[in-house]
Amino acid sequence: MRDYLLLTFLDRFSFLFFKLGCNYPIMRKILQVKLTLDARRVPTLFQRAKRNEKSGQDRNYSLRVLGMYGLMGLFLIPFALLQNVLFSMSIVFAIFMFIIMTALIADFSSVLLDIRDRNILWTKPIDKKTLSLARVIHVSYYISQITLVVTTPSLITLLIVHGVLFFLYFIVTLLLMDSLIIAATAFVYMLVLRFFDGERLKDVINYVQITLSIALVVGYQFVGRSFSLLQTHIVFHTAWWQLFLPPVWFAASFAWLFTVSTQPLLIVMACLAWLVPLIAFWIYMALAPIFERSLQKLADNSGSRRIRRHFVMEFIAKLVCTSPSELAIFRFLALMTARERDFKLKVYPSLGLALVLPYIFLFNPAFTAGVVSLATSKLYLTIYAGALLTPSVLLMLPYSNQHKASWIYAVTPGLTREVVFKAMIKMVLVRLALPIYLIDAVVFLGIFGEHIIPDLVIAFWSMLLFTMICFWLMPKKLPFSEPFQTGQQSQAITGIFLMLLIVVFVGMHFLATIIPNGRVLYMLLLFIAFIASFRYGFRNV
Amino acid sequence: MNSTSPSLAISIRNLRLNYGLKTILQGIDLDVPYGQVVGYIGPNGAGKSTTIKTMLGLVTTYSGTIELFGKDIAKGDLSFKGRIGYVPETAEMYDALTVREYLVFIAELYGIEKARADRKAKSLIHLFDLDVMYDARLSSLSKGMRQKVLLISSLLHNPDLLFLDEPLSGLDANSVMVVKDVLAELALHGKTIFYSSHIMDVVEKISDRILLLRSGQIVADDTFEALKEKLHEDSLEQIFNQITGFEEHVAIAREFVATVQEV
Repeated sequence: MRDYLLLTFLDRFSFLFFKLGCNYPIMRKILQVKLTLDARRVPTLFQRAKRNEKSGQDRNYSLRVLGMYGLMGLFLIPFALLQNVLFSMSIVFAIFMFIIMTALIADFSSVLLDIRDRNILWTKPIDKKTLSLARVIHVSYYISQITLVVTTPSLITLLIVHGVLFFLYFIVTLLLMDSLIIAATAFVYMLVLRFFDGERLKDVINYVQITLSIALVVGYQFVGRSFSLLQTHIVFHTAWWQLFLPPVWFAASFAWLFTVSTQPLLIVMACLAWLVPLIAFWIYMALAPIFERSLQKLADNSGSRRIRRHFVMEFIAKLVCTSPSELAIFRFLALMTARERDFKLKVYPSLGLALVLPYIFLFNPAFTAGVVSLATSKLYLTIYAGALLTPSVLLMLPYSNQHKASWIYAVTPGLTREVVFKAMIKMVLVRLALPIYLIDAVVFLGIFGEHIIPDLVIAFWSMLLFTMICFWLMPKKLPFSEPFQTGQQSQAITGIFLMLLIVVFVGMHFLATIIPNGRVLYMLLLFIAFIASFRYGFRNV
Repeated sequence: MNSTSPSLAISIRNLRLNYGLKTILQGIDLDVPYGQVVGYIGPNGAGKSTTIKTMLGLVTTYSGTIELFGKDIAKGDLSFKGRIGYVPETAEMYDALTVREYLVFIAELYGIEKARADRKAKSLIHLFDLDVMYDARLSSLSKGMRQKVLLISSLLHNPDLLFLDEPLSGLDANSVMVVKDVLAELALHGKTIFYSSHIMDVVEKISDRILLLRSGQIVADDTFEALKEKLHEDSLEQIFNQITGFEEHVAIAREFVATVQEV
């Protein structure tokens, strides 16, 4: 274990901690262990990176994560440069709050909610004050690290553009913002734990992690466009509903202090910016014991969850599966993909991406030429972007943390690889690919009109055929049967190659639209190809 | 409250505990003198682990009084924790730490100086034949190895009272033998040991006294010999079955197999 910089820094203030009635040497030990654990943790952003569990080596992942957040901070500079202070600060604070809060929930929940602390630390002769102070310092340290790297680029920009006073006040608001975020996160946890059990909270955290990953990818798409905002002149009026948006509070305090506007609403919001974080943090400190008690719920594995039955899914499952064992595997895989948090964490971001990617491609032309002009174009072909999810799902399906449980495939007689893979392909299509395709198709019908129905049908069969091709080209491993570590890098290349294959499909579709009667012929061709591929594709797998 | 005797390591009066509407403990009274080895048995979900957690101050919503070493634990003086060693049922540790780092850290929390802690931990690890794993991460240890580390971590500060929740789970037969003898030896040195286990023949052999808990109540409290006498049974297993009112095991087994054969 290393001696961390934070600890030597805290040493200077040890007298302060003694005065607060805290056992400083013990608190230091706890913090040292916690920081070591952090350094050895693999954070959400690098889940895909290969894990390396050599003894005692600290591969400081946190440093690499900070680098990522720093990069995000750089992308915020254009927003900080916008003319209208109220607007620019609103955007900047909204993004700050989003990044920091999701980071706190995604990567730090395991720390906030560490129930091992109960058995390990609470059973030792350590007073509550020392324990809770250690936790508060730990959380604050983490959040200020992120805040620092995310905000530094904007801070420097603002220092140059608006001067020292603006800069100093900005730092003050950042502190307020962090207090608000810590308190708000704790409240969310408390609320969820109050009404649901620990499992549900883990689900909530999982979805936040997924949201973070999606937001990152989508966010990057908009970065380039954000610069074009610089030229546009934006008029941003205050309105009563903004009273409910914390980022606008902070922005309002800037507008009030540093511009000439003195609308009453602005002043009210500025006061909210100063008071609410302090009050929230004070309530959080007061409620800390209740928070700790509700954490106990995480430890109780209380009862079974209510199982919702999906009649539609069940109906479709029975429709597409031809044998009882195939149906069983279909249901099993559907449950696993819906429940396994690790799988969801790795696949759902690409799922979300597949959902939004077609619109991102549409965004630029729609922005420059207007939505109406889209209808006559062939941009509906962007619906193929939705198929990008298939390779990533198929690539992730073989992996699981509980890969050892795959002995069930081996001991079940009559369960051939053919049956498993057939059920797997059907599950991927019905549960993941089809819903996304349907959503995109409906929206596209609205944008482009009925004349694209044949094209949508072509895209549908293409998607099915593409899935089969993906399946052939990939190493055929049984679902959830391999540990996460093994050779995922080599497969990244396969993944990229398969994504390029989509372009081929788009090209063929485009050709079909030029040739007279091309669409009908192509549709038939795809249909036959898919049926054949499904009939013969699973032989000797 | 009634007078507290200084010769009692544990003294519990009317301990009750509810989780929401669920009653976990319904009125436990218990006096354990120093140097006694108490085996705490009972069916799953009877409240064994909860009793131990409550005595450690991990659960605070109970009613009744708990006195350890003659002092009420609810009074806010935490020094009693320094005299307790605890092995939790769920073998939770900070898995990213190495065995050395973890043991030294725990010892330091008890106020033991680092070099001494390291030396002591190392010798104990050596006695458990785990030397090669001393600098390996806890996550790479097998279940039995983890249990050994956990046991050592509960003993580093030479506690007077031991709360062991399933201390033998995952250990092989030889290790069980060693741990059994270690517990007996500790008792000879005046340590009070309060442990729960499902391995009846071990409990039978090393306990001075056996407590049987059923749905939050102590339903038997005696030496093994006395229980045998009283209930006319030969083994603790049979005593366990009899007191917990579990006689239908033959019937259940029959129905179980019948259901299995349905297909």
